[in-house]
Amino acid sequence: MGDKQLIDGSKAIAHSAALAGCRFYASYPIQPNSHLIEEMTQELAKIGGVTMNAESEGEAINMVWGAAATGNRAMCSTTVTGMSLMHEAMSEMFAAEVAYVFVHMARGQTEYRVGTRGGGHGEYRYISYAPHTVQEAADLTRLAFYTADKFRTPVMIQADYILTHTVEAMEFHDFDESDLKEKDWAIDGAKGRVPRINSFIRGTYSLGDKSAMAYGELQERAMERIAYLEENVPSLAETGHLDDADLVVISYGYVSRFAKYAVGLLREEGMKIGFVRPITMWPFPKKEVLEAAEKAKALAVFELNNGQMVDDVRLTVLGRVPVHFIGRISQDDSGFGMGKAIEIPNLTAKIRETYEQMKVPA
Amino acid sequence: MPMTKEQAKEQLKKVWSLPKNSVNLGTHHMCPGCGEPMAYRIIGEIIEEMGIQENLIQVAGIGCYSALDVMMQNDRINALHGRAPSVATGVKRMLPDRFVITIQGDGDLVSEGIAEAVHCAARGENFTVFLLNNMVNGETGGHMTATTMVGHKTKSTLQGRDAKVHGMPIKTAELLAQLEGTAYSARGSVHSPAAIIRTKRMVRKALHAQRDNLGFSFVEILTMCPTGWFMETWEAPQFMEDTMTKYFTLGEFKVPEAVEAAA
Ligand SMILES: Cc1ncc(C[n+]2csc(CCOP(=O)(O)OP(=O)(O)O)c2C)c(N)n1
Ligand code: SF4
Ligand SMILES: [Mg+2]
Repeated sequence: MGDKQLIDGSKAIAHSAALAGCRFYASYPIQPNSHLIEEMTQELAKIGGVTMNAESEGEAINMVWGAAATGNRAMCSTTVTGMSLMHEAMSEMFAAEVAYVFVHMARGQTEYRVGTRGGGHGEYRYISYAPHTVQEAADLTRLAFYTADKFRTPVMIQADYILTHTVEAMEFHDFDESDLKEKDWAIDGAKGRVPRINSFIRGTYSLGDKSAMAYGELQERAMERIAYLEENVPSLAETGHLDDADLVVISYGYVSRFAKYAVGLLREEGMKIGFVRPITMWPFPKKEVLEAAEKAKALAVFELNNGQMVDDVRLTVLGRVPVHFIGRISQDDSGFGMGKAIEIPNLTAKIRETYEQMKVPA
Repeated sequence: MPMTKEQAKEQLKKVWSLPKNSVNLGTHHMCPGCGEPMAYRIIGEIIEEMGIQENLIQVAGIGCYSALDVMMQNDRINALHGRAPSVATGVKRMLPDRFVITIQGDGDLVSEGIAEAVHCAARGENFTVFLLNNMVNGETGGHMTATTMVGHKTKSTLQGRDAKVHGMPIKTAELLAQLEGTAYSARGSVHSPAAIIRTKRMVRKALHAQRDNLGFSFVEILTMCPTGWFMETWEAPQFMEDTMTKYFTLGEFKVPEAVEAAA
């Protein structure tokens, strides 16, 4: 470790997963997820892990359920329609307290909502990390495996088309996991102990535990777990220029690099603009966004969709300051998030316009 | 001198006893005359005979039999409807030295999850799938499944299954036997003592196939559902003898030599 290398986002995630000791990965080809399948196949082969090119998304995610329930580290990934197909299991895997890592290899950012709220049934949330560089993709993958085990819950990485194909200099770091406890919930054959059951309804419990819960109670328990995670999982964000900013631009993932660059250009012109980049999408970095809202006159959310993260920003600031949406649905032919909206002249124009309108006294 | 009770006991040769470790024979909440507890017990008895209950993971489907889960004394994952074979794949790939079984119904495996079962068989996944076929979604109240026989009355086919409307049922054991990854495929039943004895042999062969790493093994077990069939409890086994087993013929559809030799 520690050697600089030139690799792309998928390779970084795959190699990090292998370093984290991921033993199982299943997926089904769909762009831009396919490159990750290729990389995972190679990386897990090197460490004797198993990669399954499953026959459907539904199979892939349920295989991951089985593998992860045995106490082994497991990973899954997909995008768009695959996301919908997998959610039958994904929503229940929260209730079942299955610790695994999911890479949401999104097309652009039209799936912020599905990546933070999910697209299934019942009460559940995923811990969710959005890397903006290849380096961060590698680091957050290690963190994701650690966090999944620590809280025994699904953890998602929000990657995207550009990240999967971008080649950058990076290095793999060591990761200290020494505080993780033994997996006393693993389903591995009841040798010399009371049998365990892992259930989509109740998580893992011992055979004979009669404290069966009614559906309402189970949903309440899920809400308690969600509240616990929200309080105890550290939320992460990168901030800049919040001290003097009148307008704060909020943006996440790869796209935020364009926003940050545009903010830099406008500051050179003397405009008082700052930025917040949520790194955890959930739990949402409320502290940093509130700090921005306390000093600034307005917030502007830039994302490549019709304004999905805006909901979280507004729910955080609760009307303290106006929250403008300055993003746009990706206009490229493929919908992969490379359209005109992220071109710097367009982006700076949009931020400038918001900044200038804000300055006009009402 | 007459023998004491203890002496008499000692002289008796034990030919059969209730399984102690693998099956909990306490009360359950299934309907009277239901065939599913019998299928569970057969599976449990073979698990006990092989001494593998602490080395086995069961993946359960969703149906009436899900409520029987307390019968089995081993580690278990309750999978979603129809998805047990995929979950079992993940388990077995991670723990190849453990026995892995799924227990699923016809609604679960054939209606909702046939794709999973077919692909697992084709991949030759080295675990055993047990299908409890009672031709209905018993748990939902007795609706048609992909194995309901033509003419059979269910809550959603009150006039009987009409082939023109609903098509034909699937003969799962025959279907899976055609796949190259399948090592063993058979159909048994629990409607009579003779059928039970025969089915037990099938369950044994299937688990031996898994033990010997031969690939996918499958046993379909026909079970009574008097409630779903609008029948009295005593009518159901007779219906199976006269009608159901005439369509879903009992027997083995694929037995590799190695399995036959081992049995
Ligand atoms: C995705 C999904 N669809 C529907 C159901 C409702 N459901 C529960 S059990 C069941 C039928 C089970 O039938 P079968 O597997 O044949 O078992 P049986 O009740 O006959 O023993 C259905 C449809 C469900 N649990 N999940
Ligand atoms: S409905 Fe049928 S399958 Fe379900 S418990 Fe009753 S008899 Fe058994
Ligand atoms: Mg049934």
